[in-house]
Amino acid sequence: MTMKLLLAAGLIAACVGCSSKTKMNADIEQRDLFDESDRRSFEQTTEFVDSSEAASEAELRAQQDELKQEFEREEQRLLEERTKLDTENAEKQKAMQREADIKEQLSQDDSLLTQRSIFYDFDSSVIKQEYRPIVEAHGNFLKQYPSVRIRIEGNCDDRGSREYNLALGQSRAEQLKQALVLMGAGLDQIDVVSYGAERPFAFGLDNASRSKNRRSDLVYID
Amino acid sequence: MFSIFRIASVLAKIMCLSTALFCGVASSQVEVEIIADEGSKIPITVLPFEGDGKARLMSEIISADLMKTGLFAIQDVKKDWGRNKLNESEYSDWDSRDVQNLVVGKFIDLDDGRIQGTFWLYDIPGQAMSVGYQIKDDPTQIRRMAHHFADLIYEKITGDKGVFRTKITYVVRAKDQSTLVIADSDGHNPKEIFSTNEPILSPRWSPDGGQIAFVSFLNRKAAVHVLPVDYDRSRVTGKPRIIGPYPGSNSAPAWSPDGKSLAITISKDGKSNIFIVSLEDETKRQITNSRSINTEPSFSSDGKNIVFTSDRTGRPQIYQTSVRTVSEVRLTFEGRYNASPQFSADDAFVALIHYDERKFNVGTLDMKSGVVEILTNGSLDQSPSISPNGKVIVYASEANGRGILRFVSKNGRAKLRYVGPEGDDIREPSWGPFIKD
Repeated sequence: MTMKLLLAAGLIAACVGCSSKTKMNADIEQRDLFDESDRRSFEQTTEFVDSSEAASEAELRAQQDELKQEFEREEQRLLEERTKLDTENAEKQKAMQREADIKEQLSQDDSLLTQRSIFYDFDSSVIKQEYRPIVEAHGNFLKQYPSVRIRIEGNCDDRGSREYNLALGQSRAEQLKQALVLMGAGLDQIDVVSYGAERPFAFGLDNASRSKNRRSDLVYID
Repeated sequence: MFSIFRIASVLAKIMCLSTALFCGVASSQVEVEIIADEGSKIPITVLPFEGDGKARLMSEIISADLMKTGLFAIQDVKKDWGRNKLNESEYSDWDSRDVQNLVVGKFIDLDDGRIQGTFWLYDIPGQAMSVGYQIKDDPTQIRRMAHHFADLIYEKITGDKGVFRTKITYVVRAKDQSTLVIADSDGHNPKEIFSTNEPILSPRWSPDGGQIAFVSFLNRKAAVHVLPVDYDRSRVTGKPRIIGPYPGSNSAPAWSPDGKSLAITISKDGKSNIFIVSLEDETKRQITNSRSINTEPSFSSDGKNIVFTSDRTGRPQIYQTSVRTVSEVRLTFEGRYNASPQFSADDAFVALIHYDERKFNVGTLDMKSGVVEILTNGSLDQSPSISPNGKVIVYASEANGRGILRFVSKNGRAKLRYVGPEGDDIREPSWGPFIKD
């Protein structure tokens, strides 16, 4: 629609002016507005108005202009592409280095970050004092690497109501999430789920097994 | 094992081999062990049914049904006579043998391939026939026919409706698989209806028996599913529908009495609260609103109230609220842990689990007196579900490290044990509604 209006405006301008200079000005102005096909149709239309000699001269000049501009554009494009590739490579390398750093830190034997579970008393979601250093280590790590994502999985032992345990596992995981957020981890870095008593780690019915099942696991997501 | 309760006699132990199961288990053994104490019971004599091949099975099923209620004393008679309808002259003979209630019957294979069962219940001291009934059905329905007769006998003598034709559903848990099973309420005819690699918990029958709501996991989060089933035929009739899922963990489904909505628990941002969701458009309305755990809703029979578990005081206890206004009332005060409340059909009591620092047991909370009565003596009893007539509670227990189901009568006098196929870990029972005649 706009194109058609512009074309009509061009035609009127060409008719009124009737000189090659005016026509050329009009031509240059229009070039920015029209794409290839539009311009061609414009030129064809205007041919009726001008003498054929003036037209071919103008056409030649236009073609030269066009080629020059196209060459410049292509040069610019290649330059941009190269810069982009260089930046990408640098970023990739940085990311790889970062990933290697993350992996190394997470797998260092002596690091608290290798401890991914914290354990609870029966029917409690209170994080015990002894697990504070582990929570701090993970919280600081998440703060340092905001791109890292984790999932906290809350679990319970098999005693009591299964449905209550599902909610209790959720509560354990949520409280751990809050603690990590207080250390500086981002809310969107942490997903929280509860398996209740449904995914025991230890299957024994003794106290030792049960205490292993009352836990929250920190799972780093690749 | 049952040292706390004086079990006077082990009345019967029935072993049976069930047929090959739906989901690939080749064959399985179902053990129903009946343990009941003695007390004043209604004497009844069920004579072996007269007739073709399976006639005796009919009378055996009727005897077992009645005995398992803990209300009846089954009297054997030595002399094998009078197996069909009584003559007037026979009353005095039976009376002289101290028989009070007498069941006789016959069973035949009809020419059209169906089976026909007939029974009569006699009140011997009153010298009158109290019930006479005949059913024709498909040969596969022989147990159902016997349960139907037992229902009629039970209702005539006790005045309460029988639950012998009702169904239970429960979960069989294997290492990486959970399976939902529908079985007759006596544990026979287990049919695997739905299997998944994710855990299944909290199956609940809809009030009309046509659907089972349950919780399983979807992308690691608990989600409420509703599975359409054929109650009478113990089979699934469609695919499970997922309700919501609403952000967070969705669990603990409870059917409203009209079957049109579910109360569910949504756990999110450190809170677990109860919502009522419409099954029609899945809109939700919040019922509880506290920063603690609120879960395990159960509707009263008029749908106006729910009981639920909350740890708002730091420990799980049972509360009641109206579904219309905020009116939360605490119901349990004894013990550090009371949970899993289930309203009885007449709202007279709530079944629950109670923990006393040593063991978890199933009990009842009388809604008038507020008294909690403990009915079981296991160490890890959980997931109680009440029969539709309010007389029996089925619950999950364990023996030798695997899950089993146990039944206890509301009066605590009869106890049954239902052990699944060898090695099966069974749990999470839910008792279905009455069969519609």
